[in-house]
Amino acid sequence: MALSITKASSSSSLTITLDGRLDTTTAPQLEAELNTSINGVKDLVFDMASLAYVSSAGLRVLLKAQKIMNKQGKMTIKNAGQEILEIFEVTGFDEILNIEK
Amino acid sequence: MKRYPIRSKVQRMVLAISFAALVITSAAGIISMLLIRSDSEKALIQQTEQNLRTITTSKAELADSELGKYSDYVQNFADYIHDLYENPSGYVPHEVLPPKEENAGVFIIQRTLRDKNTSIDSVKDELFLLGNLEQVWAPVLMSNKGVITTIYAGTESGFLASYDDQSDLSAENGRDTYYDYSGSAWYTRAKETGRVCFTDIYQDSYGRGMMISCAAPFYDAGNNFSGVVCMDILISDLHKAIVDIDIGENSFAFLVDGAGKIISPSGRDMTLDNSAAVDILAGKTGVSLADDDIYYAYTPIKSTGWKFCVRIPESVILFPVHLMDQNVVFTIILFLAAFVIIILIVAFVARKFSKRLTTPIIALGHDAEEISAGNLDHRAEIHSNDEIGDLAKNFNDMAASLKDYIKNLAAVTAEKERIGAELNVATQIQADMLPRIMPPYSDNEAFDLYASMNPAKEVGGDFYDFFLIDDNHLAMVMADVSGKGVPAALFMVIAKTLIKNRAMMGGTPGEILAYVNNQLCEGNEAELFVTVWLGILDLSTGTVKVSNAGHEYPAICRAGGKYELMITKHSPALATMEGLKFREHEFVLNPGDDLYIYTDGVPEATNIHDELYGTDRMLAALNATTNDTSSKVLAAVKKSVDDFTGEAPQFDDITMLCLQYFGKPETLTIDAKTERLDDVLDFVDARLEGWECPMKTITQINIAVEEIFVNIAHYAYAGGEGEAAIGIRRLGDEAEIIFTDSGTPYNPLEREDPDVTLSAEERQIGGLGIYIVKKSMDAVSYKYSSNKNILTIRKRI
Repeated sequence: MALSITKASSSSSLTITLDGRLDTTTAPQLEAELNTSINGVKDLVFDMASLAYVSSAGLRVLLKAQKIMNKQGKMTIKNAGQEILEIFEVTGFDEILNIEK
Repeated sequence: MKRYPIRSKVQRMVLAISFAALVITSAAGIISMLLIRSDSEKALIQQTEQNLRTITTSKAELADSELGKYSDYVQNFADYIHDLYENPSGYVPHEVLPPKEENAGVFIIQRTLRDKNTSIDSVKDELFLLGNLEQVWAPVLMSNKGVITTIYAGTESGFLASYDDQSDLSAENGRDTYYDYSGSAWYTRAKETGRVCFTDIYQDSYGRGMMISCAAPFYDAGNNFSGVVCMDILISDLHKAIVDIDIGENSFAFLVDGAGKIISPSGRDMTLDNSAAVDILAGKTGVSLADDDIYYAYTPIKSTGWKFCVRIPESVILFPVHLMDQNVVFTIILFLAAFVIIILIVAFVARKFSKRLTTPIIALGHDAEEISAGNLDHRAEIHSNDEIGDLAKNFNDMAASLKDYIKNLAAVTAEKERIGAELNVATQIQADMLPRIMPPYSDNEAFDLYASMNPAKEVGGDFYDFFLIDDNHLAMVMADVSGKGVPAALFMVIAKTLIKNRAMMGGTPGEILAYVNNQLCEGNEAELFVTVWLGILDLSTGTVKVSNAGHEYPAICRAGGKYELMITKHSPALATMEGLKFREHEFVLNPGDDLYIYTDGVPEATNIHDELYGTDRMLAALNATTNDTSSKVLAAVKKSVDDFTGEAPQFDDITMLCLQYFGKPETLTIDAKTERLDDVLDFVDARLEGWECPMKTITQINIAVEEIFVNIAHYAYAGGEGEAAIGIRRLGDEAEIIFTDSGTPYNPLEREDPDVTLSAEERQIGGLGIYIVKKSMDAVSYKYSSNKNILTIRKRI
């Protein structure tokens, strides 16, 4: 199962909706997408309502995005499912990422 | 505990006895002395009182009799004068002249007139009548010369006729002298009392000593008082005779006259103002201790009305007692000195004696030490003819006997050791014959097997065996040869060899046992037999074919369930009879099932109360183990058996085998590339979904599989190409996934866990994947075997 990425941007804010699996195979897709879209964005939102799971490769991309957004604005995770939240908790990412519940 | 050597005991005892004896005798001596002293005091006082009473009485009597003599004289004189008055005609008038110097020193009757009013002529007849007294007075005075100094008679008519030798002192020389005697004590007292009386004592006017006068009134023919006849008595000697008594220091006799005047011996002035004075002056007779600590004895002298007294200080009476007191003190000191000296002597002697007594015992003690230290040639050198000598002799005999005995024992022991050593070698050989590499076939993921044998003291006949007949078939043997010792061990070797050889040739367990039975029966003169459980497991299907020749029922534990005995029909033991057929049966082991086989050493283990361990306790011990490896299961059962038997000795070999069947995993072998991740996940998910695994668990397992597979793809072949194998199987309620690669040996579990508390900027992304695996799986293990990295994860589904 692959990953589909949907973007919705207005002025300096960008919402990225993830659908599928953010794993080793699909993480580079998101990384490439972010590289092109993140410039000038002040408010980055990930909607994870339809994300099945995140592996460490996905976490790596999210961490990279967080580091960038720490410099130019803020980043928010929303609608993350139970499995995704557990991964965040186990790895301590719930402390790093701004997660809306 | 404090040590009391015999030496000090003897010394203490002798000293104690001596001490006690001395204390008792000393005390007895001193007490009797004190008693004697007390009795003596009483006796002395009693004796003294008695003596004093006797003295006073006798002295008073003496005084009475002496003085009575004089009163008799005087009374006689008075009677004589009365007779003169009554019969003047019967007497020739006797001229009485005044004193003349020429008559000095000659006793003669002389006259003295009372006063100048008295004319000699008017009294001449009466005077000359009384002149006859001379012849009465003369003999009395002569016979009492020096005592009676003067005898005289004074009359109412006014003259005094005196018989004395003091003419020269009456200075008038032939002329009448005058002396008014009518007021003198001797005259008035006799006149008033009308009877004989004594005057008080006075000093003689001529210096001759102490005097008294004894006077008696006389009466004329008409019995009218007409005068007093009197004699002066020098009583110094009498006084001396009465008073001078030698009764001790500060002790003397004294007289108290009628006026209460004390007449004490010269140089002994005293007054009478103590508590005895009243009784003395009252004229009582008695002895009393006055308040001045002086004994007074007293009695009246009847004739004079005087009192005779003796005084004697109590200290004088009790002088012997005081002397005795000193003696008592001296004796006590003597006793003490003797006491100390005797104790010292006894201590010295006791010390010497106890030393002499214990020296040979100590020497014997050293000899015994020497002998007990192993020098059996040592001999005690004590030859005294007493109990210690006997003891020494017995010691020497014992040492000699010991030496002989040890010589014999050494020979016997050497023989026994040789046999023991050979048996040990036999036991070792027997043990060495059993497969001992545990766990065996560690590459084989289809099962885990562990077996153990704890031999009893003696070499026994238990054995187990397991071996792969081919890649897919595992044979397991558990057997027990009847009997013990070398014969059983030899029989066991044959049986084990025959079973393995025949099994390797193929065939069913029944066929194998039938063959071996026939072989064993040949020439089995010893009538030994062997019970055997033989099972052959098909590793791929889990099917076990079994033949049980008289052996214990195995216990089986289905995955997630409990151990229970698997009871099937037995066949007879091997080597009982030739040509036997052996029943077979089969059952299927599913992955996760465990099988436990054993010999009768387990259920028949016995404790000190002769209770059997039994299969119930065995099953309980097995069921107390959960998810343990086969070696831990066997260790747990062995511990349970040991706890049960406690101190009781182990009679039989305890032999056990535990097989845990996992089944062969389904395996996907694939290029180790991230592009193949989906294929891997599809392979895994298909199996998990088939086992109706919850979606959440599938997601967790998916993440774990991804992390591990991506790790292998990235690092195992260091940029080169290689394959990875992913095996999956179900073990009871767990899914097990096994990742195998042939790349660089690397244990990801050794990697340090990332610090998950760091901030985004500080976070390292490496290591996070394997960390997620560890956290989300129930068990993760790694081993490197046969040049392969093998990582296994388990998750409850």
